[in-house]
Amino acid sequence: MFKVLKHSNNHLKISANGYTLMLIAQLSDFEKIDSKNIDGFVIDTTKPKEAYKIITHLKVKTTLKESLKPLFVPSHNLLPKFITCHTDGVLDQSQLAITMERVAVITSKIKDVKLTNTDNYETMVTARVLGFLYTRNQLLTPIVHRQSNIGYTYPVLSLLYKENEALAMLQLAQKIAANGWGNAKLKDHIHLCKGCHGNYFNFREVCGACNSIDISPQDMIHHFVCAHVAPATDFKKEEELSCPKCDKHLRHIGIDYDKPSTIYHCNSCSHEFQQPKMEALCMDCETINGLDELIQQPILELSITQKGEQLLFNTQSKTITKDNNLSIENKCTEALFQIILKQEINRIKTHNCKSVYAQIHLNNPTIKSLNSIAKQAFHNELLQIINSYLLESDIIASESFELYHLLLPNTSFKELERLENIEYNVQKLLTDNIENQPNQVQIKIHNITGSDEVGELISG
Amino acid sequence: MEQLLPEYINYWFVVGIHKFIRVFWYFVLFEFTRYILIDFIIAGIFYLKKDQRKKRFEIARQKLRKENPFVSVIIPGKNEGKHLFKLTKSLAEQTFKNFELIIVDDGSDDDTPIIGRNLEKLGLIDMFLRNDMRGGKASAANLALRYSKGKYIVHLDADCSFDRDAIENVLVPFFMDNRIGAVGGNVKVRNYKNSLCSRLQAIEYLKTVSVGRIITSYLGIYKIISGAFGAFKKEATDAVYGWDIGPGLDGDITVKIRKSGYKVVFEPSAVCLTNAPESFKVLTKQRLRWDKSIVRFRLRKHKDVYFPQANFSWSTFFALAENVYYNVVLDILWWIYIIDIFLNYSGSLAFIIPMNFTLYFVMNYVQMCSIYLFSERKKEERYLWPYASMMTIYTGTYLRIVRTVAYYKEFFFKRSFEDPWNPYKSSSQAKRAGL
Ligand SMILES: [Zn+2]
Ligand SMILES: [Zn+2]
Ligand SMILES: [Zn+2]
Repeated sequence: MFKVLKHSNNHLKISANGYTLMLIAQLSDFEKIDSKNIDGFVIDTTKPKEAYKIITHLKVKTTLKESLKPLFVPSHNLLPKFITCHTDGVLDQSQLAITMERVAVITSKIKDVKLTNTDNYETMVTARVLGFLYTRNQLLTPIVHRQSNIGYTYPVLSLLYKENEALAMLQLAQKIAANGWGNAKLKDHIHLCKGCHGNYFNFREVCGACNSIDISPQDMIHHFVCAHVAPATDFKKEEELSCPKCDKHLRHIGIDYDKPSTIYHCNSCSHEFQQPKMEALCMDCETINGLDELIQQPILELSITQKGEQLLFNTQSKTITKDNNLSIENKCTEALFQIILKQEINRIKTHNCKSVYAQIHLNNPTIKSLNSIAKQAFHNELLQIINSYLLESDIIASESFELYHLLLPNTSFKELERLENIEYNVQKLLTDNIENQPNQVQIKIHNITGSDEVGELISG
Repeated sequence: MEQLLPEYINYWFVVGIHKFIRVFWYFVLFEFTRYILIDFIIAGIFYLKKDQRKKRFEIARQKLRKENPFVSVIIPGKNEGKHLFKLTKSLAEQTFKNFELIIVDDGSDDDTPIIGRNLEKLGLIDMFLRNDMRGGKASAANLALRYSKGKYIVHLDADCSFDRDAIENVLVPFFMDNRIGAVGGNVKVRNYKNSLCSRLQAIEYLKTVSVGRIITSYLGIYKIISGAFGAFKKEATDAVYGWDIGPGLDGDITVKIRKSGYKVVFEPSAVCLTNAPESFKVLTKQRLRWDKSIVRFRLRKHKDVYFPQANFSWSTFFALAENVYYNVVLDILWWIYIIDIFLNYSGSLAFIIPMNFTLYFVMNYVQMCSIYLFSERKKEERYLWPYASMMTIYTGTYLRIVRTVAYYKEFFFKRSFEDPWNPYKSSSQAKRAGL
């Protein structure tokens, strides 16, 4: 069924079922190949350092689609788990057919991924994580990892952040969940150093008055019959316990005396206390953290949601906005809208295609008089209605409930059914909720030409 | 004149003074002398010496301010967490500032440890000591004592609040006489407006706690420093090794300090307010406990003070004897009086009972006048005047019955050793040791 072929410039390939996997022994191997014809990779080294370099290169330095290609390790136990967790597991040559089926599934899923334009680092990372989850149809499960600064390693995600950026990485995982792109399951809580965000600590008890670690605990003794209470040293007479108040011998714990508590004595400043202060010495940067100063962060296990998948299926015009509390997928800021509009004008100048700019204007004194929270709610509702009629390639920007800018690419005047729907429904929303005032909604339509000026268009 | 008075009063004018004294011997011999005669004689002496006393007090206050000794304020208790924050705020208002605050949590089973540790962390409490296993009030106070660094100890209850100068004033007497080993503060009822029960107690406190203690202190036979508010010289508490097992440990340590040669006085200007029980059910329980302790400590544990021995002291003898006399002896005599009347004058009860009530009624208001003379918050206490009319029933009947029950139980059955107020482990050991 399968054969290992010698490549023209000394590289090994595994082919079967129409798919080809490339064996990579060192980082430089990537330079010598044309990865377009390769469906996946197999790490062909047992040196963890080299393997790590190969994985990092593939998952971080390449394009999104390239980074999602299947990646296998040759066999068990040769590479540590914190390396293999980023891969698709072991390539079992005896069951190559099964492996190739897996390659087939991943390859076809990669084809669904349309997102290519990623405008900032966070978006790029989000795309790679969601892409990994989607194409592998699995959970993003962090594994315990003693050498990691935070004690855990996330598949793929950890490759995209430096060791000292762990906090940003953990926060991104939370952001993915908060935006509804991923479902999160709480695996653990970790505590990070306020100085270096590491989590390798020596926890110790210290004196609350002078912070000395030289403290010693002592049992408290309560002599029932005379109600005398004092630390055990007060009672010690050579080997015996004898009460300094009533001179009786203490014989039997629970019958004539007990030890109701413990008290600490500080050998540096003589302070006496029951509750020693706990502190955490960071073993990386030597910062002393009070327990309440430690930064607590959740370790989340992530799975992709439908909304997360939608994010991947959108093309490059699609932008992940940071303030996504509206969940309006086609919405962007007005500033970004102007940049995109300008690009569109330039595109039309050279490509001679048809696109429409539309402006929706609401004029309603009743809404204007609402308080800001009600206004915001109304604004969100309108955005959702408008958005529901837009195509994936359309873009909308709106800073206030009164004004909406729309860019409808590759659309001619004859294909404006969606604008009619929007007008009808927005009008209906207004008349349902507010007393009948005709002509509340005005829509201006403009066929974009190469000589248009952004400023003129936007201002109407 | 005769038309204006009710018939039962006219009757006594007719039968003459001899029969009057024969029938009302209990009132004339005990109540009148103790609560009217002595009160007003001492009020008179007090009034004459007012300026001199004020001057002595001021000189001592200056000495206190100059020395500014370090004081340990100790508060032992169980489940008192809810009071702690308010208490630290009340103490922060004190004119005397040079003190540490030590709270002992005696095995609380509520949020007290959490509250206490937090206040300790915030620096509002200097030391929070907790015993996971409850040991009883005495052991908790002794634990605080063991870690006190002050020259003086001020012992408080957590649910009390204090006049701004209360701690300063309770310390002043130490600078008037070097032999003073302990000073009792003036405990008043804060919640006197909440129920009839607490109003009657407020009057009772004013009578026995305030006035009563001014007089016994003046006579040198003051015998009980309230656990709610008292100050001790550290050397005195060390000399007696602190508190012994209660109930009634407040009176007990006072006697112990007296026995070891110190004077014990009352300071009326050191005022603390406490919450009195608001229902008669709770009050009855509290009084049974207090009254049992009189038998246990005054008659049993400290019986040696009544007999000539090496460190015999007349004032300690009188202090305890007065206490026993006015509680135990008078209680027995009252029952004898009742029997006497029923046996010998059962035909005249229609004249005797209303007259008795009239006598007590008048006496109560005469007493309110003496309270008025001694009081440092005259205005507030005027609120209580209408209720003084009910004191005959309250002290004359209700408290007397409670007291009798308590004495009976303790004298014959030593019931105080079974009081859940102390853990069983301590009580059983104390009983075996005959304490
Ligand atoms: Zn650190
Ligand atoms: Zn002992
Ligand atoms: Zn220390």
